[in-house]
Amino acid sequence: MPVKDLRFALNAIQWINVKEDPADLDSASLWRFADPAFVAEYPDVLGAIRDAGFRATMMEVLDTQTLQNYARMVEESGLELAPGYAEVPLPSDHGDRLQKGSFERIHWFDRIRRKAEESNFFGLDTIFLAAEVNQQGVRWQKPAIGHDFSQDRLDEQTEMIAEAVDVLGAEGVRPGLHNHVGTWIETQHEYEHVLNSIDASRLGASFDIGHLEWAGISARDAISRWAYRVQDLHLKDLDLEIARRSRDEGLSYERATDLGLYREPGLGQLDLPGILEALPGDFGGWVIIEVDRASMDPVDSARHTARWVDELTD
Amino acid sequence: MALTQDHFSLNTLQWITVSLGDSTGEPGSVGWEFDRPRFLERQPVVLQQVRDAGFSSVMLEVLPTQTLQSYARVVEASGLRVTPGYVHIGLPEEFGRDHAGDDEAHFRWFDGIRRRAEESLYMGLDRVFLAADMAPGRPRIDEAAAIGHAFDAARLDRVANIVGEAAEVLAAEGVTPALHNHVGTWIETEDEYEHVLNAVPASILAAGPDLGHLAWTGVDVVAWVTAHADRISDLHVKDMDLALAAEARDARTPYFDVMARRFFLEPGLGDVPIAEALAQLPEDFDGTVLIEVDKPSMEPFASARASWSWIAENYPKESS
Repeated sequence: MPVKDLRFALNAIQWINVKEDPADLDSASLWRFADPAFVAEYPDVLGAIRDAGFRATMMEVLDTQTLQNYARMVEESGLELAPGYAEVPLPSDHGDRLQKGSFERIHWFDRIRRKAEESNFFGLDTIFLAAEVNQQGVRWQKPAIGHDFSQDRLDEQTEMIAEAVDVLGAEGVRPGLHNHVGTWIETQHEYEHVLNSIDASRLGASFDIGHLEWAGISARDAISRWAYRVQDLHLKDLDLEIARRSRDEGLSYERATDLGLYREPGLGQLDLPGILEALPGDFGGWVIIEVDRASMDPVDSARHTARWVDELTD
Repeated sequence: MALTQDHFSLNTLQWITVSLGDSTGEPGSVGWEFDRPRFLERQPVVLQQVRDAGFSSVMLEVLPTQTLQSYARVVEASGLRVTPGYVHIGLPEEFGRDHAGDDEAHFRWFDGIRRRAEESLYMGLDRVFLAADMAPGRPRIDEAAAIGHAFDAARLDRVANIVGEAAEVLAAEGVTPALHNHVGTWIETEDEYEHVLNAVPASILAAGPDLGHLAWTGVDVVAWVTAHADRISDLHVKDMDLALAAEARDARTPYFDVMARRFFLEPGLGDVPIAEALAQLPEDFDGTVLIEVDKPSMEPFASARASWSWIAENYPKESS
């Protein structure tokens, strides 16, 4: 696939995953999508993404707004929407396993159904599907090394992913499995186990390039190996030295983030053009760029990222 | 008489309330069929029966385990139109919560309100019934219904405030709420209803009375509709045994004990002067008259047919 023909979108994460006091690494990490006050700021963020030069952003309906309210914001921004993101928590991380068909188990997938609803409302027929990011989980403290692996747990996670795939499929939305450091689907063995357990007709592969590389996996090799299933991608650049230190020295997820693991594309050491060249010729999916923690002011970060895309696709 | 058969719609309570009052409060122990995931499979059958009974409309009711698109498909297949839905709001204090100084918690208190706005807009509706919440354990449910039991003026002001906030949330989405009285809630008596209607501007809160619930408390519903005709956007109507209502009020009876008797009835089978009250609506009334039979006195489908028969006997197909 010629890299110049790829469709890029920006996740607004530059504005979202921020420190309470940007000058103080020890201040609280915020996740502003969840802050009711962010609803009023969202139009400005979408406008800044457009002004930076992006045509598309990732679908992210705030849980503090209606679909119609978000639709108005998106329309005013002039942006197109790229596929959203859904995660499946593991019941045994939150109590007990849930019996199939039980009231609690059916409701376990409410948020997945909601994501299907949002996707369909905005005419999107694919979505990224991941295990839950659990900041109380052991992998949040020891990320990217497959810490505390258990096949039994992976089987439970696979079963829950499969059920989420069914829920999404019933609504006409096709998920792509997403690897994510800090979750139970972090290593090659883990994502390959899930991909091998669920038929390609129901589940694509929607890798996160940065999270593959953070876990020491060649993103280029992963994309090549699973080319026939690659559906959409998340792209991020990394400071590979911090990635290595997090694995070798046991830096926590949050500490690695605070130290500057995430970089704007081109400012890290990943060969992003080379990785993208591994995409198959018929790839029709989205490449959603994420700068999980901006190394500069969010507007500058978005502009820098847009220039990188321009240079790549020129 | 301006009302035609097209003004009428049905809430499918006949099929829904079979176990109401039996819930233990444990997860999965729900008394409301809508809340049981298995109802998803029955929904198309029930809607088809509503249509077969003669109705052209049904009340909006997206199930908790259903997407908007799935619901829209079921409704479309039934051939029915949807009419305004229902949403309620409680006082945080009754759930052991204090939102003082916690703007985020208070914002999220209205998540359910925003969801109903979203559902309404998706289905092309711009109105919704808005009520105070009704929960087991409350004195008007468990001790004495329909007599304004445990009245507290300060609490009523707090109820008016939270209803006003909910109305603002809905209005911001382009949905106009209609305040709904309901036995068992803190907006139960005529005075309470009046108090809240007076406390919130008519520009963001219409009146959406339940004539049955008013009658249960002993109100003259014909006079009530006459007095509020200009503010009524939509109504719920239900019939009931008013002698039993009076007896239950006198004896201070819990809500579900009244409901357990042959109290709720199909329109025309009880004593509520529904047609006389509806005759007081303005000539150009364009809202919905929603029929509710909270507990059918016969098999559900027969109950829906009996309800439609009453409409067909009393109202023309089209305006003359």
